[in-house]
Amino acid sequence: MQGNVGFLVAAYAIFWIALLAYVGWIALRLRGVRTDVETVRELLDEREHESAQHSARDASNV
Amino acid sequence: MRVASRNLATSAMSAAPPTIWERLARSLAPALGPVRQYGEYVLGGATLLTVTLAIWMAFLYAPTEAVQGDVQRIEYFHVAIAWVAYLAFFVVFAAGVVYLWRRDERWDWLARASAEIGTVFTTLVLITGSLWARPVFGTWWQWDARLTTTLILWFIYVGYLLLRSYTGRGEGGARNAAVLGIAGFVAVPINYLSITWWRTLHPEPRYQIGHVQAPPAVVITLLVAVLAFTLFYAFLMLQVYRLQRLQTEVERLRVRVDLDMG
Repeated sequence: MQGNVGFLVAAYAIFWIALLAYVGWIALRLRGVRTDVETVRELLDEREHESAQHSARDASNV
Repeated sequence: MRVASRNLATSAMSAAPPTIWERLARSLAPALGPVRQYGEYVLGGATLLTVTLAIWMAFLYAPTEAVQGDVQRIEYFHVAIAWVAYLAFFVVFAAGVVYLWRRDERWDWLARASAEIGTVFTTLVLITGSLWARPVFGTWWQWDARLTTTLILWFIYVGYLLLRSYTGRGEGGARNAAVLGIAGFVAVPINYLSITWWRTLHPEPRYQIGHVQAPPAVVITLLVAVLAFTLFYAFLMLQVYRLQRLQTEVERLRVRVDLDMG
């Protein structure tokens, strides 16, 4: 059974590659969702700004 | 409105009177500020340090096993990540119970994050176990009790994650997932005890309290590896929990945008 270093190297290599890939995937998803949050917030702010302007215009017309 | 949208979790609960825990959390908030600010860095640093130490100990400190040779060194990480998988599924179970009791979505985020990490670690347990079994037992896989129950455990939590992705982030999906997380946890003690209940290819535990059948260097290395991967799990939990919170937030913001457009 001695001399099975190949299995040891394979186990540790697969283990670390898979774990680091998972950490990288988490980082990518976090970056993506943060960008999404910012984009949707900006869109909402624009909408609120526009509706506030409409309301002010309507009030001045009245 | 913007402030309200940023505090989804807290605003959802603001209608109810604050519980003793919420009042305690509010009173401790100023003191916990630095912990929140730097805690993640401290945890990340401690994880890196202990994982590096565990790798060094597994390869250079622990003695070479007389019969199996160097391939036995897989055991240090294999056992440590199996422990983390059990811990992760216990967190899914406990968070599911608290979610059904309190109906606070933060517990659902916690369960979901833990299930994802637990599934990744169980996958790695199966892979490293197979790579260890091939040179020692002469087979990659055998349908014995321990291996089969580990595979069943893996299927349960893959099923949990699939259920989450199909049912979305609503209350119904969270409730169903909590029930599955609680029921699925039954497989964990069965998996742990399978090697004593049935005859299996998998070796019996050498590290039971009062019955340690390994040299101190082996036990210390294993304990350091368990600590390292428990810290790693905690660090990953922070990240995946944050991801769950932000994904829920963005989904709600999109609903608001759709309502505005409508």
